Formats: sequence, C-alpha cells, structure tokens
Amino acid sequence: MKVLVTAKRVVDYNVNIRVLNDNSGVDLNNVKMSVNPFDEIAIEEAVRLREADKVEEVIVVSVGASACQEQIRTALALGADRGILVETEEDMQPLAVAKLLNAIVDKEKPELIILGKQAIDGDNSQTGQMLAALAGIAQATFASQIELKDEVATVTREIDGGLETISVKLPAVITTDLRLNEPRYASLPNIMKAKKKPIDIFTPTDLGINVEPRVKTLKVEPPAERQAGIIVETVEELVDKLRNDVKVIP
Amino acid sequence: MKGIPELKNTRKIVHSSLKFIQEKCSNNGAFDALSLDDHQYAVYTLALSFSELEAAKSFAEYAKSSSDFEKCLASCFIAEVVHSINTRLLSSPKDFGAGDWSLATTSFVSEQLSSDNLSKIGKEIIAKNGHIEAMDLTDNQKLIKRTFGQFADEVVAPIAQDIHRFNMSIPEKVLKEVGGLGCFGLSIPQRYGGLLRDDNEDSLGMILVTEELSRVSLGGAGSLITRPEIVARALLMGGTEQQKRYWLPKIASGEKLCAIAITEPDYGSDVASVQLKATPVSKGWILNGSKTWSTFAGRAHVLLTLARTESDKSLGHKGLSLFIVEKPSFIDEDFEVKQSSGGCLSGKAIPTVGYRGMHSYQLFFDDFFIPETNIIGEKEGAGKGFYFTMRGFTGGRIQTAARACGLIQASLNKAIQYTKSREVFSKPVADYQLTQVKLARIAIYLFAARRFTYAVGRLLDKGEGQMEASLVKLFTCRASEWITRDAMQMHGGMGYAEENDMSRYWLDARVLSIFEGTEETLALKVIGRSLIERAGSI
Repeated sequence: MKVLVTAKRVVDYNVNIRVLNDNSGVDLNNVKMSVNPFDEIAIEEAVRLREADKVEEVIVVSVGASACQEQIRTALALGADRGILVETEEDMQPLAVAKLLNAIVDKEKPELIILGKQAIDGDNSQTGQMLAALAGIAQATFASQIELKDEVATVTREIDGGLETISVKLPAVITTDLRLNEPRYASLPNIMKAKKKPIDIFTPTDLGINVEPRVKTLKVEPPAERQAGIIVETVEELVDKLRNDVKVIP
Repeated sequence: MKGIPELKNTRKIVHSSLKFIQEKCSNNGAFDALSLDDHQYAVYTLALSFSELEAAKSFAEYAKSSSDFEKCLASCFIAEVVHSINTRLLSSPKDFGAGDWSLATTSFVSEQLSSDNLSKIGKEIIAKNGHIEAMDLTDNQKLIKRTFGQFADEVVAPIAQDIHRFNMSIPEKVLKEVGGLGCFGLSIPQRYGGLLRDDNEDSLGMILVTEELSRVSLGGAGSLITRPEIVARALLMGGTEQQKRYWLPKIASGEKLCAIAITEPDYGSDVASVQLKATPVSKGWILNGSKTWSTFAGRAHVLLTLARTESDKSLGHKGLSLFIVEKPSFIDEDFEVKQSSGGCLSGKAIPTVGYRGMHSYQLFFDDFFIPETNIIGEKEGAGKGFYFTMRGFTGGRIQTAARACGLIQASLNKAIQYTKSREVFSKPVADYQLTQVKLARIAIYLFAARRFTYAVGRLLDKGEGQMEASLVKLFTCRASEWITRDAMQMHGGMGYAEENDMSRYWLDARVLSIFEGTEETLALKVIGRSLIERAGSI
C-alpha cells in the first residue's frame, strides 16, 4: 500500500508574525520556516504505518516555491521514502492545491492520503475535503486515531460534541488532528540519509492544472491590539457594561 | 560591505603594533620568544584586538550576500571593533608603538554607534523576538538546527534549571536520547560508525547541534559532545587502525561515554609539563599520580589520559603519551575502581558555581594498570601524546565557540522576553531607549560571534584554521560574559533569582574563558606569539 502525505512550508510557530509596512503580506525576511505541524503529524502517522508493515511506501508532496524542498527533506528525514515538489511561484489557495494533489493522486494511485487538517498560516481547513471531493473518494477529517484493516480505515474523529468513530473504504483522504500522535525528532543519521532520497519536480502546467488564484488579497493587517480590561465589582455592573458600553447583549 | 576604509586603517594600526613588539623582541635580528613575557599586556591586548578584527572580517564577508538588516548589524559591529581597537592601541605609544592617529577617522564610527542607529536595531531585534534565520545554511543544516532546537526546548529545557540548582547529574534519559539522535558520532567518519562523510569534513553539523543544546543548558546537554569530539580527533590522528575500529564505533553510538584527563593540580595550561607517571610493566603500563578538572569522569567509561612515559624529564612534551583508561560508569560524586592487581583509580567531584550537570573530578591513579593496547598509536604513539592532545583541543575550541553562541542567543531571547513583559514607570522596559541600545549591542555581537564560528568551522574542514580556532574561542567566550551580565541586568532582581534561568547563564558563561584553554594562554602563547612571529609577513 502507498500513502501520500503533505508537507506545507509555513512560518515556524515560534516566530512573531509581522505584517509588512505596505500591508501586502507578512514579513518573511530571515524568518524561520517549518513544516506545517499538522502535516508533521500526518508524516509521522504514515511512517508509523510503514514501520508496522501496513504500508510499503510513503510519498511526501509539497506545493510552492523551490524552497519547499527544505520541507520535503524534513519529511524524508522523518522517514518518508520519496518526495514530489509541485513548483510554482503563484499564491496558492486551497482549491488549486487540491487540484494539484488530485493530479498527483491520479499518477501515484495511493490507497491512503493523509494531510494536516489545516495549515497554521491560512487556517483554511479546506484542502483535504476538496481533494476527497475532486478524487471522488471517502474522507475522514480531524482524526485522532487511525486503524487500517482489510481495505477499510477506522478513524476516530474529534468533533465539537466529543469523539466520533467512522469507517471509510480505501482509498480515502484522512486529515489529522493534534492528538493523533507526537512526531519524533529526526535523528542525525536519518537527516544524512534523507539527502540521498529522490525528489521529483513538476510544474502545475506539467500536471495540466490552472492554479490562478480565485481570491484576491486586498490587504493584510495585524490583529487589533488588545485594550486593557477592567475589573467589575458586581454582576449587575457587568450586565450593565455588557448592555450599555460594549452593547453585546440587548 | 567590503572595503570599509576604517577597517583597513585599524588593520594597519594592529599590524604596526605587532611589528613594534616584534622589533622589541628581536635579539641581533632573530626573534626571541622568551622576551615576549616582558610585553604581556601588549601581546594580550593585540591578540584580543586581532580576534575582533577577524570576527569583523567574517561578518563583512557574510553580509555581502545577506539581508539588509544583517548588513546593518555588520556595519555596526565593524564600527564597534574599529573604535575599540583604535582607542586601545593608540592610547599608549610606549606599549603599542606610536600609532598614526590620522588613521582613526570617526565619521563612519559615530554614525554607526549613535543611539539613533542602535535603538533602531534594538527595536527591530525586539520585534523579531531575537530570531534571525541564517541565510547561508543548507537545507540539511537548517533541519539539524531546527530539530535540535526543538529537542532542546522540549526535552532539556524543562529540567535545565533543576540540574543547575540541585547539582544533579544529567538524567540517563537525556544521555540516551542525545546518543540515539546520533550526536556522539558527529566528528567520526562513517567508516567508523559515525556521521562524517569519508571524503570530507563537516564541522557545521557539530557546531549547530552544540549551539542549540547549549542554548538551553551548557552543563546539561550543550557540552556532551565536546568530549567525544576531542577523543575522536586524537584517535583519528594517532590511533592504530585497530584502535580506531574498536573505539570509534562505540564512542559514536554513545555506548562508551568519554572524559578527558589532561590537567593536573600543578600543571594546567602548561600541558607540556604534565607529570602523571606511566611505568612500563609486563603487557602494559601502570599509572601513578593525579589529574584534575576531568569533567564527566564519573559517568565516563573512557578517560583520555595524558601521562609521562619517558623518565627523562628533559624530553619535555616529547616524553608524553596518550592513554585510553577504561573504567565503569558511576553516577555518584565519588568513585573508586580497584583492580585485582592492587591498582586503584579514585575520583571526587569538585563543587563549582556553574557548569553543572557533568561534574568535574579530581582523579587519583595508584598503580593503575593499563594494557599496552590502550596507548594511542601503540608503539608508534609513544612520545607523541602531546600532539594528539593538541589536535583534540582544536576541536574542543571551535566547539566552545559554538557553546558561547548558544549561551548568547539564550540571553538575548530571555532579555527580550522579560523586557517586553515587565513594565517600569507604566511602560514595558523594552520600550525604553537604553534597553533597545543594549539589546542591539547583544544582537550585533551574537551575529558576529556566530558568523565567525561558522567561518572557522569551514576553515577547519579544509584542514586549516588551527590558530583561528583559538581566536574564535577567545572572542566568543569573552563576549558571552558581558552579554550575560547585561541581559541579567535587564532582568533586575529576577535575573539574580536562582529560580530564573538568567542567573544560570551568567554563572555558566564564566567557565567558557577558563576551560578549553584559558583566555590568557590562548592570547599570549597561542595567538600572540604566532602573530608576532609572522608580523613582518601579514
């Protein structure tokens, strides 16, 4: 069985995000970039499945500029077997990424596709669902547990009300939630070995996909700074403030 | 970036001072090294100045192809170096020769070192939370840095302060994980079970791992790979093929932990005078005497021990050989190993103010038997121990520079974090000019120290840079001292509290200029002497 996983290049979660002065985007100069943490969980899950002999090959895909090879190498060091980069300088949006991934799925025919439930930059949480629809296969999103048996994946999902367990027929798309696993650290020997693993590079044109953005970014602004709070003495005062000052209750 | 005339002028001032001292130390046209001791202050000052010049050179080189902000940091560092060297050397013609004051132009310097410029840099570094991703690392190197950064933050940082406060020994779990990630094999070629490619050296991996681990704990993790580094270098240079095949894979895997036993109660920097006596007996040697400051000797399975194998004392450093002393691992601060032949090796940890986690031991050898296969190089290695030790030390010095970089980064991060959240007179400390200027200076030195360390690492990979390893150690370790001091100062009382990591950084920084070659020995004996000897030709 083949598994396809994703490794999106995002600003590291530790970095203090700063908006550019002209409001055109965020500052990426000298900024540490990482694999989207949810994707890291997807990679770890796939590698564990291979270590448990349930899977033969783990393929990692990234979409974006040539620098995304860094994130593919990270996934290879964590245990993925080979990489695919769809190289484009375009501003990539979920539908375009889903279409590109669908084209890769067509080529590679993986039985399982595991993606992060969302990326920590855009927080869209759309790509996995779109991919499942485009490929016409099942989806199990927000997974906190995955079991594979006889062409069926039993997936525990984290939903608003608690946990839900569903079975989906393979091939299927699964997106990962935080509690699915704890990714390992890449060991130095594995980092060295990753250098030798192959990465294939395609362009959207090679795959016959139009990736032109559908949504135009007009302006990027930092969140408004939080104002200092006040301490109220009584419940009556609180209700009064909420009703008359902030006007959030009628 | 290149061709800043002020930097060239300062280089001229340094060179004319070096020639001045060279002339003073010449006897009938020949250089007389002994008379250098009459000019210690000048030699020491020149060695420091030269280390700063070299740091400026590597920073300027890097900045040529870096971001605008890094260019800005580099210019400021160059101004700082130019200003401080000029002031030092031009102030006392009696010591440094009559320098040419006209070379000490200041318009570049005063622009760069103005509070306007510095506070602007400070604000930017605060906004970036002290994080600046280096632009000249390969994908693999970035991955190493990120992986070990994360490992350090998640596994080591939570226990780092307890290791210090309660003088604990590094937990087994940390040793296992550091070994499991492959850290002990960083300087060992692949054919001996390590990570180095057989066809080329790569110090940068070792530097990055050390830097990241030292950022959270100097004693609890950052110094773990110094000892295998030194042992591996010595073995690679002097060991027989059989010794390399036997020992290196065990060191690389972490199966055998290492310590170094060179320094003695009466001889520290003066390695050539070491007295521990090795007497030949049937099938081996017996060791008698004592060693001190042997860090990690308790936990170690292997002590790299320098001993005198020749009874003729006039042989000096040519009478020394290097032994691999095997012993069981002990977690306690006292240990004793008794041999059936009656030999004994005992150790006792010396309490220290910082650099805790590994414990530094005093060792006593009493008729302690060592098999003949455990002398490095066997018959060929007898009398060459001094040279093998020095090869190991070069590795230790570049490593120590990386340790200093880690400690400086930790102090910068901590100071930014604290000054942003702490309010004084109703605004955050970070919003004041003085804080911004101080943080800017720390950042400037951090990036200079890091650039210099990486540059020397690359030089060592080419088989060069023996003196540069001493220069970078001198520069980075000294910088870490005032930096941890300033960062602590920005914390006010909290920085002095034992529970705060900042107080540990300050204590730990002090050891850096003391171990792995004291500042004075490096400046006077290694750097100063060599600079003055070749003063005519540079």
